[in-house]
Amino acid sequence: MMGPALKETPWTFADFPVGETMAEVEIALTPEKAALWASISGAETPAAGAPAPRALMVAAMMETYIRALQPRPPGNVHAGQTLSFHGPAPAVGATLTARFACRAKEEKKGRFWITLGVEMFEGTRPALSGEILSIWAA
Amino acid sequence: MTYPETLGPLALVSSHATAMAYGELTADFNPIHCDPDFAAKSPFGRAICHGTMGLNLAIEAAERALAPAYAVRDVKIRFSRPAPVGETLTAGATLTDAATGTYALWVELPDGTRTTEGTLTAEPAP
Repeated sequence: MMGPALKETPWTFADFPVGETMAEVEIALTPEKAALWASISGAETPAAGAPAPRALMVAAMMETYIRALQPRPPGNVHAGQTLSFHGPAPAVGATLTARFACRAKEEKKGRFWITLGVEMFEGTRPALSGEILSIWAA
Repeated sequence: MTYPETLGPLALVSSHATAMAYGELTADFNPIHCDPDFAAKSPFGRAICHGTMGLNLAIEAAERALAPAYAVRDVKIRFSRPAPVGETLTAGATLTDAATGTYALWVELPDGTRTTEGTLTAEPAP
């Protein structure tokens, strides 16, 4: 597995390589994470082995996004998101692999817009894909 | 079977505690969400909720309303306005095209300001 994209200094807009896969990160949809989302949302906590809430998959995607690119400048803004869920939801307890690629970047009116593609797999089966649109802080 | 006309709404009272809990869930302790002093000096002037916390509230509302016959397939949204930490977020979706299972997805503040807007498409459960 490729692993996270780690640098000595925070990732800047200039560093992002358009068209390239940048990082792969594994994450487990643990019962503890399921319970934490339930405590925030007021949902019932799913049992280990039950289908994971799709919100938990999105939260896992965000954690892998944070872990995939480090360090990062403070103050980045998440501006938009697309998501596609594929097939049945993975079970609570499943481990997913998230792969990130830089799909586009553009400077507009002094703001640094970055589009990262994300694909998450359970083994070789696609579970979630989408794009994260961010305004990068530096 | 037909798609439900509305999904949710589902509400969440945000607070520094929920921001920190969502930060723990996502490993995202961006000071714009979790550090009121840093956020006060940002363009937002105060801490703002994680965008995906509201989005996930909408997805949770949709999943509860759609199951077991249907499931969320696609989501496309913009985080159009900041949601200050401390506000109540209300999230849901309204059917706009019954043929394709397409909904208008929204997250809003008590005054009706929409902080997240976009579309959600459902499908028969896989």
